[in-house]
Amino acid sequence: MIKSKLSILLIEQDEVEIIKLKKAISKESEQYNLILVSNTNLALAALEKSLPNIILLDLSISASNGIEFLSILKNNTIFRSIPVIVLTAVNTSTDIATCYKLGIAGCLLKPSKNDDYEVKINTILKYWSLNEFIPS
Amino acid sequence: MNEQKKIEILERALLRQKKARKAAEQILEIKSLKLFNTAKELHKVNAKLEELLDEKTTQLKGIFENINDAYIVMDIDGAVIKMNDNAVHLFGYDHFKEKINVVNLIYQEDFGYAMDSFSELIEKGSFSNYTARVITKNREVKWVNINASVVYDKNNIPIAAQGIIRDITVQREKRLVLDMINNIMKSILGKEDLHEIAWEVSSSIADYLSTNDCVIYLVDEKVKTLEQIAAFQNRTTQGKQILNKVVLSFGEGIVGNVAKTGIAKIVSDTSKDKSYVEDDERRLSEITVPIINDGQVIAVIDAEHKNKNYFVEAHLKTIENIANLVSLQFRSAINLRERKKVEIKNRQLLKKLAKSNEELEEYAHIVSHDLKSPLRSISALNSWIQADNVGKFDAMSLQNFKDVDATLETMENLISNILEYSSISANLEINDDVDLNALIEDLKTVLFVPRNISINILNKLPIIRGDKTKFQQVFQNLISNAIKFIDKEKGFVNIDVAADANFYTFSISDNGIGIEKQHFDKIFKIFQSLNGSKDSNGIGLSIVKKIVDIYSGEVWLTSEVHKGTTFYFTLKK
Repeated sequence: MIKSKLSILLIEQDEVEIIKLKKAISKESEQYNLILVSNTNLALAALEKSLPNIILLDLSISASNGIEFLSILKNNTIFRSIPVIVLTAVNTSTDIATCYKLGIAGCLLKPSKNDDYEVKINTILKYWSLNEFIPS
Repeated sequence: MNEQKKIEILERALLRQKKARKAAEQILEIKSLKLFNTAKELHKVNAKLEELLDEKTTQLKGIFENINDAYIVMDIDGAVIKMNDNAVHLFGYDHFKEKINVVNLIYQEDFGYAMDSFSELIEKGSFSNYTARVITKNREVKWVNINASVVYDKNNIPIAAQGIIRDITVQREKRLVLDMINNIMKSILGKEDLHEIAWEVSSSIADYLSTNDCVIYLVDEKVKTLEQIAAFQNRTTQGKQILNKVVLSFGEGIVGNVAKTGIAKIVSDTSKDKSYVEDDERRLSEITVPIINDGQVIAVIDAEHKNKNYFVEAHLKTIENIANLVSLQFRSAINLRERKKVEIKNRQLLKKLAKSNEELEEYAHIVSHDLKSPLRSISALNSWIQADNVGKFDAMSLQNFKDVDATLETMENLISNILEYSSISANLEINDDVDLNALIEDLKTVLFVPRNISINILNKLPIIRGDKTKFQQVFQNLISNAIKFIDKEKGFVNIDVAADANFYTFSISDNGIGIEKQHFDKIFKIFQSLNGSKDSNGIGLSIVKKIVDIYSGEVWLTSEVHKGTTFYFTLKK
């Protein structure tokens, strides 16, 4: 059985973070189809073109902006079914609670140590690559 | 028939006649006596009657002359025919010395009413209780009450009118004052707003003084100024807004002077008073009365009139009375206003505080995010350098790389702690029943508790209302702190509670290393780690204090070095 690639929409502003993610998944890169956007407006534009399997949303820069994006997404009849995994640097319970209430699929607290990060992100992406999605 | 016979007949007839005449004379005599007597009688009666008449006339004359009210008789055109002394006194005119017509006595504004009443008098023959103003010879205006009737001749044609005139000026004045005081008291009864009370007082006084300028100033003791709080300017501008709000300093103008001295004052010609402060226009008479409470001038009533010499001593007395009557209510309204001002200020302050708290939280949040991401980047770059150069670094450089990582981690921890501390909000909206016994049992499963340490609840803990997360943070920090510093072979953490009427006092005691007394205050301050241990982030006790503060409780400790420490904190029941 041929497994199709997991398509990921990554919403991230920080260049180093992007490199980190790319490096972290470099060994498995054939399994993933990574779409990169630097802000939520571009993300919505990208979603209009094609639907990814999952969305990785970085909350780091502005939580309110990220949460606003989440509510737009979850109010959209098509976009709402895409699982969103939030990436955050800070364990603020209220933000995380808000995100879960809006219907995120998961939350990754970014560790400061790069090695820890690599383990975490790979595990999560591995998990989602094993998932079945709504056939397009 | 013979002669003799004729003579005899004649003689007999003569005799009869004689007899008859005698009888008649007799009757006449009796009658004339009677008549005489009657005439005499009549004369007497007449004399009596005349006497009586005289008497009555004198009596009547006496009544008119001695009547307490003024009495006037005038002809149909209003020319005075007769007036008593009181009338002379009242009007200042004397009909013996000059020609007077009552029409000239009528006060301009009452002319129409007077004419109507006069028509009524002629038509109906009388009127009563006509009340209007008259002008006396020396230009005084007096209020009079008149009862009058028409005098007719024998053909029933009116020839004159008479009237009794009563001077009711003083009486009316008194009633006006009473009415006004009644009105003021009634209108301010139950009112709490200073401006409303001041408005009622100023408009009533303006009414009473028949002026269109009455202002009330409020004394501000702190900055020594007077501020207009009510200004009655005109009947037509009923708006209670003060358009031209004048603020005077103490001692400035007549008002400022009265505020300073506390003594009421009449200025009969302001053009001769240098201290007069012109508001919208110069008015020549001014009356100024302080409102005094507890020996302190709290407000000033100030009225003006365009005419010179307008205000009199009676006005001053009346307004002073009013000032006395309203002073208490003014005082309480001022107090209320002060209280409300403070309340508003407090509310604004609270709002501001809440906002700045919010901003601070937001700020801490953003800052920590922003600080953390470069740290993560440094860590990533650090590890990439190592990965790309395996075998190229000596032991020293590798150690340096490790130290960079360790430093980064410390930094990251610090940032997390700041964020944790600042994100404890003072928000008390969450108000659940929290069973502290269950909460401790939960904590036992979450916390790492070494085997040699037991955590015990001595007395059953209460269920209290509040935010479960916050209580959990308090107990978690205190218990983990206790565990951290236990150096004994068999350690314990004992949790207990005592209650009084208002508070629960919780205690968490351990048999750890203890804390020196000099550090007692310091340990609650943020980032005060006493032993510099890596496990201690120095923020736990700050968080405890912050939360206990939020619930208006207190936190303190007792300790003995090497023996153990007990932390106490109180929470409201």
